[in-house]
Amino acid sequence: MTDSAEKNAVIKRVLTHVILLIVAFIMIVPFAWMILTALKTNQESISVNPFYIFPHNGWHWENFKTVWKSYNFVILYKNTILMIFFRVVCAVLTATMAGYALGRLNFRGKKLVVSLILIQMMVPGQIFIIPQYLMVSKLNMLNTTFGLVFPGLVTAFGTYLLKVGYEGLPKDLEEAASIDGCNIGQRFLRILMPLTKSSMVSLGIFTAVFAFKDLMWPMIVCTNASTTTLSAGLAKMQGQYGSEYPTMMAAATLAVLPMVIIYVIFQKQFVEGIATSGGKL
Amino acid sequence: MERFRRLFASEKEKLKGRPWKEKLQYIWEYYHLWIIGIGFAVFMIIYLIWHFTTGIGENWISVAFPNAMTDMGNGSPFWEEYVEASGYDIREKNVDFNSSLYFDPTTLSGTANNYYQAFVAMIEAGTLDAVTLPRPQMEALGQSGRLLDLSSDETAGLFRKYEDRLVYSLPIDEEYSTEPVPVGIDVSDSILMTQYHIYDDSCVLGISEYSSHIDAVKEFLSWILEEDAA
Amino acid sequence: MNKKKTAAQRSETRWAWLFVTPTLLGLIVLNFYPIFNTIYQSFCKTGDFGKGNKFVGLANYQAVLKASETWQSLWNTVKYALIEVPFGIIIALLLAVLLNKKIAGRSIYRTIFFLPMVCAPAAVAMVWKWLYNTQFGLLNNIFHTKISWISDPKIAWISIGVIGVWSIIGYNMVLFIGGLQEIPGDYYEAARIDGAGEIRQFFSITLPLLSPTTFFIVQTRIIGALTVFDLMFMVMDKTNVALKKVQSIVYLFYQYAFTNGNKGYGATLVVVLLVFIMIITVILQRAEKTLVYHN
Repeated sequence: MTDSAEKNAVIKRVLTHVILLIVAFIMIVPFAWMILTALKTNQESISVNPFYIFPHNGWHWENFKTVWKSYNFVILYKNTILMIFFRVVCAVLTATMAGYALGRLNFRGKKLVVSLILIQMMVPGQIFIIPQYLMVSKLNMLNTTFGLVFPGLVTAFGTYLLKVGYEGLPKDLEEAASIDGCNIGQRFLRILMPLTKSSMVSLGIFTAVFAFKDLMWPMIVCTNASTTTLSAGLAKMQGQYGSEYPTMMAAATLAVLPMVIIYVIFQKQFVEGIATSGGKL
Repeated sequence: MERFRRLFASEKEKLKGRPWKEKLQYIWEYYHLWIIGIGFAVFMIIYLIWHFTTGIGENWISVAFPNAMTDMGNGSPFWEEYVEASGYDIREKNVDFNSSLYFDPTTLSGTANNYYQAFVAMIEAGTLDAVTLPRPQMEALGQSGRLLDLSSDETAGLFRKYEDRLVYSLPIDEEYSTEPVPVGIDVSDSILMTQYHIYDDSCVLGISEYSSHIDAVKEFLSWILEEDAA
Repeated sequence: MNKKKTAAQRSETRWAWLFVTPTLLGLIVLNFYPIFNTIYQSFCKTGDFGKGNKFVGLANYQAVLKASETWQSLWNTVKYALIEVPFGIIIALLLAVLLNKKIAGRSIYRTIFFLPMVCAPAAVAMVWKWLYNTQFGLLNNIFHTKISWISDPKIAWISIGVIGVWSIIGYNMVLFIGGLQEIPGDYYEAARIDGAGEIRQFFSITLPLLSPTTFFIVQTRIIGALTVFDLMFMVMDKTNVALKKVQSIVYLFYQYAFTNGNKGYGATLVVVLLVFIMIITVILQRAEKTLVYHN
């Protein structure tokens, strides 16, 4: 390699990192703010000086202790993780099946099903809440995990995502399989499904994030402190401590941590899973 | 069905004469997804039926105490006291008190809208019977028409009994009335304030527009106002 | 249609319905029952002080279509979408391509770009208010300006759009990374042997092969942007003078259906929005055939 080519490669790499670092900085600001506020005193947190970013009177780690003690985090974590787990399982399962049928198979009524899925995304989510709440209450399922999972049993967005994923796979995959005597179900399970791993992981991440951030639904169906989730349980704290930002932010930080850890684990899977399935293409 | 019968027959043929451990292995090897799927579905159905038949869905009464400064929810001292005094059997139906809502109908902004939407859902589903709020907030809430008009027939008794306590608000919907409508009963002197200090200055109770337990609300009212003792 | 179906076709149909049924049943119960309920409500004047529903025919539609605020809000929503959709997608695509290369610390970058998705909404709202505050805000202090970022009607829609772009980049990026991973590596290998530079490769391999993913994101983000609600609620107070020029149609729906208790009118706004988005979607679906590369 010549000198100038090497120089070019170095410049390119530096440029890439500069762009990524700038964006990373912009993305991390609210998160850093959240943690820094959690370490301030109440007085500091409401200071109007825009450059007053770091805590001046020592780092108040005890805010975390206060929050941890005043709420039963173990139960909140448990409820949240159960809800996320079941929502992800249900969403990925139903969306994969339906996505395969809509993306790979021909049948009458396909267009209608696709239109229904799109229409579901076009209306504001607020109109679903009251009827769904009525259904859960009629089923005697208030204050249960099933009640929390209920609106996430199926997903229009996920089905559409998987449909696009299946459409993107090469056409000749199935021909080889049908010569081998596989029926449609076997083709789906053994050949096509493993190739859409990345779409499935994306859907899993989205479902988990939406479930985690969903505030209103747990608030409505789980009014007991022992059955509610992190977001709703902590929102209550926000109501109680209204203006005490450090306590609020300490609570929010404690809530987000497991999500970040799960993501770090998952995104490794994300990359590795594809590295293996990509080889088959 | 015919296909299943044939499949079943051929599989049975294959497994004939093998030790049962091998049989199980074979079945698991080829059908584990089916077994897990059907097992999960059966579990879900049993769980749903069990909950549906044993769970308590109905309420004796359901009251919300938004913005309360004291915990008034299920299991709180206030709740326990009321359950005992009212004599309701809570194994049969619930007494549901909710004090984990925070919103201010006079300003409504920011993240408070989540609580407000939750509250509206409870009212519109008809599960909530009554709500308490400080006076200015109750007047603002009353404008939306989400509370029962106390001058209507169902509440004629209440209207007469608490005539000097009524709180009025002017409906947003001018077609309904251009005059203020009675929507709440001032209970600032009740034990909610004297004993539990749920709000700073004033406390008003309103009945939800779709409440089906108005009589229970009446009893609750006379209990918090300590009418029996007087 | 007249031809008798072969056994293979029949079996295909059976499998397809077996796979679609769980989703379809769920959608009908969870979503379509409420949607039909909303459409029915749009023909009613709904319960006032416990007086129940009254059928009023098209009165709500007349009122909604006559009101200038409906059209203003629709226009506000379109303006918001015009910022969020293109910028959110282009920036996310650029980042995804950069992160798809083997560079140092890419897991760390991916995690950081994911953070806005899980950060507490209260913290996000506070930071943006802190940035945009006219007197004490960081932006005005750094640039020594006195701009009312979120209360000047001429600027506020851009400020809100910026928050929208910021909060959506992470979502789009996760989808783009998924799409990029599915492009077989040997295509790039072949292009490199042919002597194509990185920019050539991007336009002749990445873009066409990624077009199904891109189309998916464009489609879902247009729908998402046109139903935006939380953002406006987050940073704008009821007293904000720019509200009328910024509020989205779903925000207006919320005002009527939830705050004012006029569900019928709110439901009508939802139906109007639904029709509007459907028209755009049909146009998009038509365009899909020419814009998207199918292998």
